[in-house]
Amino acid sequence: MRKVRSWECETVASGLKMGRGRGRGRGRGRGSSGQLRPPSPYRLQLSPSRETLTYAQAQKIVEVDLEGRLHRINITDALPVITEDEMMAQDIAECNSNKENSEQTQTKTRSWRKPPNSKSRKSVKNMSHQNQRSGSQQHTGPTNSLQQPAHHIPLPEPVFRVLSSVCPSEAPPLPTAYYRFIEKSMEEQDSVAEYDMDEEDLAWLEMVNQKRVCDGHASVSADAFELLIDRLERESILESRSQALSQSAVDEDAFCCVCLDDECLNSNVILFCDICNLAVHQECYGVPYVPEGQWLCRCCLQSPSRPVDCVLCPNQGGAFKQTSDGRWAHVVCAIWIPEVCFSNTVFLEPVEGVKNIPPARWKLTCYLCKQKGRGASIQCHKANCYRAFHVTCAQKAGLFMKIDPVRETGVNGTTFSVKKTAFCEHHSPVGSRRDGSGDESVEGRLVGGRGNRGQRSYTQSPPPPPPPNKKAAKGQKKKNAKGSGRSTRRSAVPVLLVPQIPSHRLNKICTGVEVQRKNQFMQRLHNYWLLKRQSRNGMPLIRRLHSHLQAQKTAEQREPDEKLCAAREELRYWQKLRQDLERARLLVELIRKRERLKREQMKIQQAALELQLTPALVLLRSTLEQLQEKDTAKIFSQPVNLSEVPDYLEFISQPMDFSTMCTKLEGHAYCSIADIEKDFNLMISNCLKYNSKDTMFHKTALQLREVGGAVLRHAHRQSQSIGLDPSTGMHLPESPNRHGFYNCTWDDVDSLLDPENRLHLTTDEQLKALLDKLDMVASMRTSGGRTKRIRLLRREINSLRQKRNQQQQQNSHSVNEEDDEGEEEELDEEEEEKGVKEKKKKKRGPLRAMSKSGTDDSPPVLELTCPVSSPLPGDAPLEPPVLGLVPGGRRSPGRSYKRQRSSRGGGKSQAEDEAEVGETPSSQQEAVHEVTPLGTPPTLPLVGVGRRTSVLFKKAKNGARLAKNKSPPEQNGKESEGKSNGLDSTLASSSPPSVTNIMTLPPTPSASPAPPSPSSHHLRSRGPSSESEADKLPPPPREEGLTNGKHTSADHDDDDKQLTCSPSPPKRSRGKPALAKVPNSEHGDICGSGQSTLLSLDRESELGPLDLVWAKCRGYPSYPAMIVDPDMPQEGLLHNGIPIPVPPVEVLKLGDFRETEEGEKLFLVLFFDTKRTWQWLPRNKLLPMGMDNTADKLRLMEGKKPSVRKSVHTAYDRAMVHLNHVRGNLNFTPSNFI
Amino acid sequence: MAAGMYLEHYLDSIENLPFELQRNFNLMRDLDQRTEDLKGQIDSLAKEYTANARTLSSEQKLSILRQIQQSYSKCKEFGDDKVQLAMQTYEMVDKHIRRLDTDLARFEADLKEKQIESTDYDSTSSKGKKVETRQKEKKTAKTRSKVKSSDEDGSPKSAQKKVKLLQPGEFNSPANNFGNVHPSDVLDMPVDPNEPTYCLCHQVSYGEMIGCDNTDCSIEWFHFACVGLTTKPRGKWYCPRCSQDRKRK
Repeated sequence: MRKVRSWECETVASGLKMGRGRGRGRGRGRGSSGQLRPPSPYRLQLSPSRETLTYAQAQKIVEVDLEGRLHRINITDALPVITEDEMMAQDIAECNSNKENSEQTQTKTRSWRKPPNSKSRKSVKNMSHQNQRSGSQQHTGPTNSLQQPAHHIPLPEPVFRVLSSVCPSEAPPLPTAYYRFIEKSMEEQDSVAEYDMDEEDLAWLEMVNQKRVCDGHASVSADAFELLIDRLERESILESRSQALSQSAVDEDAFCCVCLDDECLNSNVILFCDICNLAVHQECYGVPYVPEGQWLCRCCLQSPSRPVDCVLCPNQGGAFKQTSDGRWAHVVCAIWIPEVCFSNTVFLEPVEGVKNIPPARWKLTCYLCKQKGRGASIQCHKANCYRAFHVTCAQKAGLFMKIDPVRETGVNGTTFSVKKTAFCEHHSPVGSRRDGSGDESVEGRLVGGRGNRGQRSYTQSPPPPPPPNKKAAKGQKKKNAKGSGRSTRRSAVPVLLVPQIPSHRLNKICTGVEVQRKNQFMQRLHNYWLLKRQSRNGMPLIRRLHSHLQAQKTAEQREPDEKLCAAREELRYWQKLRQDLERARLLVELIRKRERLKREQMKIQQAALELQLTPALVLLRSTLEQLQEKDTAKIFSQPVNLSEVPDYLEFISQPMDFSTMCTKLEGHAYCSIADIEKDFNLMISNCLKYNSKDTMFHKTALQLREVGGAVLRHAHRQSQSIGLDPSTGMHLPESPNRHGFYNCTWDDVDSLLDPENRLHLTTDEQLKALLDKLDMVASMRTSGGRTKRIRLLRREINSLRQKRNQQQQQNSHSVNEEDDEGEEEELDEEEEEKGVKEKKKKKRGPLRAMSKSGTDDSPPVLELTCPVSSPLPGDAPLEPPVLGLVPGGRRSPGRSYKRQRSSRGGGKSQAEDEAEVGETPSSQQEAVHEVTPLGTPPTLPLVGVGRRTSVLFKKAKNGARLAKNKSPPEQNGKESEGKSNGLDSTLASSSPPSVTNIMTLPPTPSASPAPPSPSSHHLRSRGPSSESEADKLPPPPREEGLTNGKHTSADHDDDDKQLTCSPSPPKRSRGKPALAKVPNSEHGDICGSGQSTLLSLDRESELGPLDLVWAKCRGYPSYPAMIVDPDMPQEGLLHNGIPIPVPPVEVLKLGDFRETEEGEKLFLVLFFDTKRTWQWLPRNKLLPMGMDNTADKLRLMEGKKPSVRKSVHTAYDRAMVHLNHVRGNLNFTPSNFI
Repeated sequence: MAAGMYLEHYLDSIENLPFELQRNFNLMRDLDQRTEDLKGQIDSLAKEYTANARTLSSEQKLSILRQIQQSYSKCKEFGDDKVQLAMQTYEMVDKHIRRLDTDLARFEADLKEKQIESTDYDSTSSKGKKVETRQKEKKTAKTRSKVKSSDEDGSPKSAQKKVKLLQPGEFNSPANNFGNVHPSDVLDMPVDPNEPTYCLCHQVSYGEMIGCDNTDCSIEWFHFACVGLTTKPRGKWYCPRCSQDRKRK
């Protein structure tokens, strides 16, 4: 402890030094030469207390450097105020007084130094020393100041007084937060000598040192001594720890060996001696306060090495106290023997009154140990019982002994005593009965427990007590009675108390210490230490180590299971491994993500590079894709399969399709949109050229041309805005100025809409401009103006197109005229067309197919050309194609009649065919020609002849189409054939009315607006021509029917043919002006062959498939429906390019069932409701639709509820739409009908 | 000690992991290097192309473009390989982790038993143990959340779903062993700043997660809450982004 304290002092001192040093460093510039420079007055004033100048004091000093001199002024001092006049005077005075001043101070300090106080002397020495040091530090300071005489600076007159006593002011206490207790670590503690010398040590050391000095050796310092002792202690602890047996924990069944009770109260706990493990109650042993740390019984404390004997009994062990005469006695004995008492009843010591014990008591013989004359006995408290026993013997035997605390006025008057009752064996009372006469068995049992305890606590010493023997015996007995641990401890006490330290350890200990004649000293020191330990009953000299030892012991107990500990360690290890793995997984996961991103990046990079290198290609590609998307039916996606249409190349010199375009594109054959557009147009024109007008392909091609045109225009604009270099297909160095295509206003549109504003343009240019505007407007946001303008633009465009077509027709007409005169080239062209036509014919039926196969290898030959043509003047322009049609005698038989027919059909049929092909202007032109003279506007739909309608597909542009469409036409052909045979006659009869009908209603059709699309216009324009023909030549019905149906009759002459042809068209007429039109004709259109005419004539007659009817279901008004042939092919059917839904199998089954049930023929109808419901209905429930306007209107009104009427109306609209689609009237709008 | 036995086995099995990891990483690095080389080639080709765009004939252009394309397709191949390797590596590590998890669970159970056996077992040590188990819980929680994100990738998506279904059960059992894992425990975990994030919320994985059935989904995994799910949906599930894309198509 002292050590620590001294160390603390040191730190404090150093702190002080520091403080002082600081003050010095800052302020005190002292001459190194040793001359004390004259200090400033304030410094002088302070000088007496300089040594004790604390940090706080230093803080209060202000230093002023005036003229090289340092002045320190305490901030609390009042400074006199000096005016300038005074200053001069003072300055001089100061100068003068300076020397004097210095002398003065010197004397002053000297005089102050004089007092013989050792402390002050020391401090002065210290100070001067410091001064010297500081002076050397500030070496230059003084010289400078010396060089500069301070004459003009006035200094205040020094006023000072010398303090007689030094009173360093206390530093203000720091807030508690500044203090922190840091427990020293084990290592730190180990490195510090903890032992503090006591007086004994000092004395010993002095003695030793004296001796050593006498021997001429250096004395050993106290520090070294402390350190060595400390090391010895540590060593002993280590030693003892290694050999220490694990101290048994608190004994649960411990009992106080005084009262033999194990009751343990908070205020009266059982204490254990730290050495002998004696267990006593606090009260029983007189320990009012439980001491902190170690507690030793008196015996161990005062006679640790020598076992004590009780003067009052022969037994050893137990709780002893010293008697007043220095002997020992059991506490119990002292309690029980009446003459004996404790002088201090609180501490229960010392035992008094042993001398007062009467000799008679000494002479009593203990009936238990039978020993006579040893110790004093007590007698049974039973009145007449004289049995004597030692107190401890009685305890051992478990006799009844009871102590009741009783305030008793003893001999000393105020003694606080107890009432004690003890009985011999025989008189032990039952339970709590005090008198002693009681049930023995019970009592015996009751005390038995205690007896055992008593037995355990005492050992009887043999009569002549030889110490060594006794010890051994005692040890043995104890072993029997108590745990071995306790007994060994007891016996091992001397050994344990002072552990021997091996010499090599000793050597090791003293290595760190510099001592002369080390070994000798160490030996002595060791001995001394041993003795000292022994004198202290083996108690460690350093308390902390001891307690630490114990703490360690408990710590060891905490981890009793080393295995468990190891397992836990292991677990920790695994967990660490798990964490590492987790990290690895995380890493890999990140890597995975990174790689994915890299992959994405690569793709993007590629796309970017592609855009950079070949932007044109990308644009073209996207354009082409868009175009292909528009081709929903995939008609143009593949090249035409030449094996299916072998004659394709005869008509088309440059086949083109999307796949070819794709390959060309990838082969960098396209440089700009224009190239693509060229091929696209080629493709479309090929299609239009090869396919007749009313085929699906034709229509699709037209549609595609429309939408594709928009796509291409858009792409054009894009390429312009992007700024592509056509030669490289890369971006231009600088992007072009974007002309604001999408910026134009309605005004621009409107101005363009006005035809006057574009008169200066050619038709094509106008068309282009209009299309551009249309695109633009379409790309705008939806608004009323937009839709209106779009409509207007569309109309304008359509009219323009029409105009252009007419121009073309006129042109071509003139050309045709020339052709007529015999231009070979034209003929060739015409021939091509004729080939087309023939092809169509071939497809109609098996027969045709046969013939077609026959002609496969022999394409149409030009042999038969002109001669056959032009039987009629009106037909003249058509003649050339007809000529082309005739393949000549080399043809197969199947072909021959066709040839005949065609020749018969002459210009008429040719014209029709051409109309179908649509692209050939010559035929159109002819039609127009004929119409105009008649004065009938070209609106009457006419073109579709029965032959054609029955043949839905004349020619396929490409293979896919062919394959798909083959079956429907065949079937159609079959149907028409099957029926036509029977119907032909009726058809013939029907034709006249139809004709008349048309005749009667010429104005209505003409009133309909100009057809917007050239094709439809064309078709219509065709109508009147044939009509007119019909007018001119009333047709012989029979022949007509024949031709219409089959063209089977080969014997018709040309005229006949023409005539027959002409009436049929009216029936076929495009249903555009449905309201105005004769129902007849409409029907004719729908049902394909002459059947319709039957219907028109006889309503009760049969309805054919694909007829539109009013179907009446029970509970519903008549509803528009279409008759569907139940035997239609499952893969579907196209009616003039309009797909007809296929009845589901269930419906068909139901039909069979119903038919057998009803016993009559049922028609399968498909309603035009939203769900397209199927129904089987008998004939009488069906009324033909579209025949009679008024009838239709009646049906429309039939519904009672408005909702029903409305639904009927919509269905009717739908039906009409269908009708018009079937007729190929693209511009039909249902609103026209209602 | 029995525990020692299986853990020893585990040690043996994991011994090769570092080498395999290294091997895979080396392979990836190799592929990376080759990709970089190809990229360099592509760059030079592109430069050449742009410089001579005017003079080159279409065939030459075509050949250059084709070369570039080929290089790119090779790069893509390498990229695929790398991704594949990464997945493989991931699975390898994941396999080990899962095995370790089961072993650890066993080990801990053993340890617990032993502790119950040992009679004197004072409060301090039990406290220490408690801390330990808490850590463990966290760990399992972590694993649980993690594994979800783990077992996809390699396995086909259909199987994935199943795995996902199994997971809750699989992981509930250990969780029950260590008491219920508090969500706060999961949150308390020191978050690796590099931990990959998932979901629309760009958070690390936790709780139940669902994988998008689009193999090319850029996010892959989503928290149930973030996509408004409480239970696993039947059939295929697409994340909002992917479903949008699909609709557009």
